[in-house]
Amino acid sequence: MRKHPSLIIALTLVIVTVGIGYYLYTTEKRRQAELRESERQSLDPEASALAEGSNPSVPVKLYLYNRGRVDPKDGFLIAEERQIYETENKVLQARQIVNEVLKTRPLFGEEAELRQIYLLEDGTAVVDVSEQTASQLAGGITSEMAAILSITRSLQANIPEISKVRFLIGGRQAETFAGHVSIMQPFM
Amino acid sequence: MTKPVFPRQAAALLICFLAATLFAIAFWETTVRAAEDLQIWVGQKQSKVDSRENEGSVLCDLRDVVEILNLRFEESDTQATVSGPRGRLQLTDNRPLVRFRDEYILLDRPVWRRKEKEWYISEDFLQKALPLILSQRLERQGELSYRVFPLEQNRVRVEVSNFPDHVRLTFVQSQNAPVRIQELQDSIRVTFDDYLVVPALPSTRPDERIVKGLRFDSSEIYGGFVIEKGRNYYNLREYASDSPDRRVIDLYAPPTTAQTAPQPAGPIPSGPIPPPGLSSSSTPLPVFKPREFRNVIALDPGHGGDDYGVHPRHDLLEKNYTLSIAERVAEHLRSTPYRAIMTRTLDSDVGVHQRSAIANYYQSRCYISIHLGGAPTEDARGPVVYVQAYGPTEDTAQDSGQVYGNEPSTAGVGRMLNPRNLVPWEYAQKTFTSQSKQLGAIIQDELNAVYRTENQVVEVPLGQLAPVSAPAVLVEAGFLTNPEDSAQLATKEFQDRIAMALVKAIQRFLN
Repeated sequence: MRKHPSLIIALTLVIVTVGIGYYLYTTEKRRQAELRESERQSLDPEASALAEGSNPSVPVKLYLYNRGRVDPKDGFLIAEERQIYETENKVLQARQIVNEVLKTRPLFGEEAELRQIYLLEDGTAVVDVSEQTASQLAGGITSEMAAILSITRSLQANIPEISKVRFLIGGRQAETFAGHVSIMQPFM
Repeated sequence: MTKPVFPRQAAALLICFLAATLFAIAFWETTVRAAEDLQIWVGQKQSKVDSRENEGSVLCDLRDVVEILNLRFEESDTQATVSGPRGRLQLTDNRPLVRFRDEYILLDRPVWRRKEKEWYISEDFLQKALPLILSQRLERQGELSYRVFPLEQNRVRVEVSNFPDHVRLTFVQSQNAPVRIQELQDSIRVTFDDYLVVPALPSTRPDERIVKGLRFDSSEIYGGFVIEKGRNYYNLREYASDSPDRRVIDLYAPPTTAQTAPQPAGPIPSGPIPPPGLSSSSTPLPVFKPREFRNVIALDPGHGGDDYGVHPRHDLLEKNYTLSIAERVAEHLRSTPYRAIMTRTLDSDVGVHQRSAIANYYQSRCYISIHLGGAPTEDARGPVVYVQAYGPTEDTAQDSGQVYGNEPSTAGVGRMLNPRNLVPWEYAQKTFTSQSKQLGAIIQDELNAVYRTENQVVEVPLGQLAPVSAPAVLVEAGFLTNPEDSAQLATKEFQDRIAMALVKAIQRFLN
C-alpha cells in the first residue's frame, strides 16, 4: 500500500480538530455543571442539603385531618409522627414538613405540590402551592379547612419561628383557597 | 514530470479542516451553549431574549425584555426596578418575590444576578408580573414565544339620571373590563383595566349640588373618569349589573328628616324576584327611589355553570342540588310575608362578589347561601351551617386560641361601621356577626332535626359572606361525599324537607 502523507496529514488534522473540539466541549460541560451546582446551592440551599441524604432523620409532629370531623374546633386534626431530615435551615424544615402533609391521601390529590415556601422576618411563612393542590381537593369547606389547618398547624407545631401562614395559589394571592375559605389574611 | 500534488491535496486538506471546524462550531452551538432563546414578537418584529437554562427552567435576561418592551430599568446593589406605564416592579437578587405596590408575586425561581451585572428572571415573570405594568397585552404563543398585542377599545357611555336625593351615574361598557372605583377627598375616580377607554360623556348635566363635574381623564393608563364632588355630596353606593355590563354609582346628598321616615314598599311582585337586570335600551331609567323591600330573603344557590361544586360522580353535581333546594325554599316562602330573590335562577356561574352585591342591593332581611358539603373521607355527614369568622388581631391572638381569620388591625374600623358612612366591602358583615350567629344556630337546629344529627355552627372566614350587609350564613345541607346523605338528597321529598326546614328557620329568626 502506498503511503499518502497528505491524506495522513489531513486525517491527523481532522482528528486533532475533533479532539480539540471534544476537549473544549467536555471542559465547558464540566464548567457549566460546576456553575449550576454553585447556583443551585446559592439559590436553593435546601435542595442541595436534601440531595445529600446523609443527614440523620428527626421526628416531627404533623397535624392531619381526623376522619369524619367537620368542626375545626372539635378534634378536627389528629397528630401523627413523621420523619424528616435534620437540618438547621428553617426553610428546609418547613419545606419537608409541608411536603409530608401534602402526601396525605385522600385529603390531597396526586398532583398536590409545594411550589415555594418563604419565611419572612415577622414570622410569616408564605406557602405557595400549585393550583392542582387546591383544585384536587374533595370540595366543600371541610376539605379546604382541613388542607389549610393541617399545613398551618404542622408548621407552627414544629418551627417556633413561624407564627402565621399565608397561602398563595400558583404564585399569586387568591381570594379563596378553593372557592370557599378566604385566604386574604394569614392564618395563625 | 511529477504531478502537481500540492494544490489538489492542499485543497482537500483545507476542505477537511474547514468541515471539521464547522462541525465543531455547530456541535458547540447546539449542545454546549445554554437554552434556546425566548422570543418576543412586537408587530412583525421578532426579538430574542438571551436565555440560560438552570435546573430545568429557563432564565431570561431582564435587560433584553426591558429593551424590547421599551420599559425603564434601574438597579442598585441588590435590587432592580422595572418601570412601565402602569407602575413599577421591584426585584431583589436571589429572592423569588417581586413587589408590585403592596402586593408580592412569587416566581418559580429566584431572581438571579449573574456576575453582578446581568439580571436573569424565570419565564413566569412575563406571565405573572410584567402584565401588571404594561399598557399592552403580552400573550404567550407557545414555548418560549410571546407576542405583544395592542389594546382593544372599550367604549364607555355614561348616563346621568337626577333624582331628588341622589344622582345616578351609569357606566355602560362595550367590553367586560374590570372596573375600579376609588374615592378621594374631592373626587371619585372610576378606572377601567385591560382595554383602552373611548368615552361618551352624557348630554344631561348632573345635579351640580351633588356632582360638581364629570370628565374623562386620559392620564390614566387605560383612561378613566373623574367625578367631582359637589358641596352637597354625602356618600355613594355602587353596584354592578351584568349583560350588558353596567356599573351604577348612586351619589347621595345628606338625608333630610322627611327622607329618614320609612318609605312605602310599593307593590310586592309575586314569586322569586330575579337579580337586577337593567334594560339594554339607551333610554334613561325611570325616576324611583332605591328599593327598600322590607321582607326580602336573599337566596344564593351555590356554584353554577362551569363551577360544579362538590362532584364525587359525574351525575352528582352540587350546583344542581343547590338550585333545586333554593327554588323549593322560594316556593315555600310564597305562603309567608317574605319574598325570595335568588342570585341565580339558571345554571350559570355568578361571581362571588356579584352574589353579595345582589343581596345588598335589595337590603335583604337575611342572606342564605345554599351549598352541599364535601370531605376527604366518606364519614363526614349531616348539615353544617357556617358564619363568617373574624379572627383575633395580632395582639389578642394568643389569648383567643383561634387559628384563622386574623386581621392586621381593626383599630378605626368601629367608627367606620356606621350605616350612614362608607363601609369597606370586606367588613360589611362585621356589624351583623351576632345576628348571623343567631340565624345560623336556628338553621342548624332545624336541619339537625331533619338529619337527626348534632352538628354545630362553625365559624370560618369565607370570601362570600364578608361583603354581605345582612345576617348571613352559608348552609351545607348535607355531604355529597357521604353515601347516606347523597342518597337522601337525591330524592325530591328530602330536598323539600330541607327547604321547609330553612323556611321555618327564617320565620323563627325574623319573628
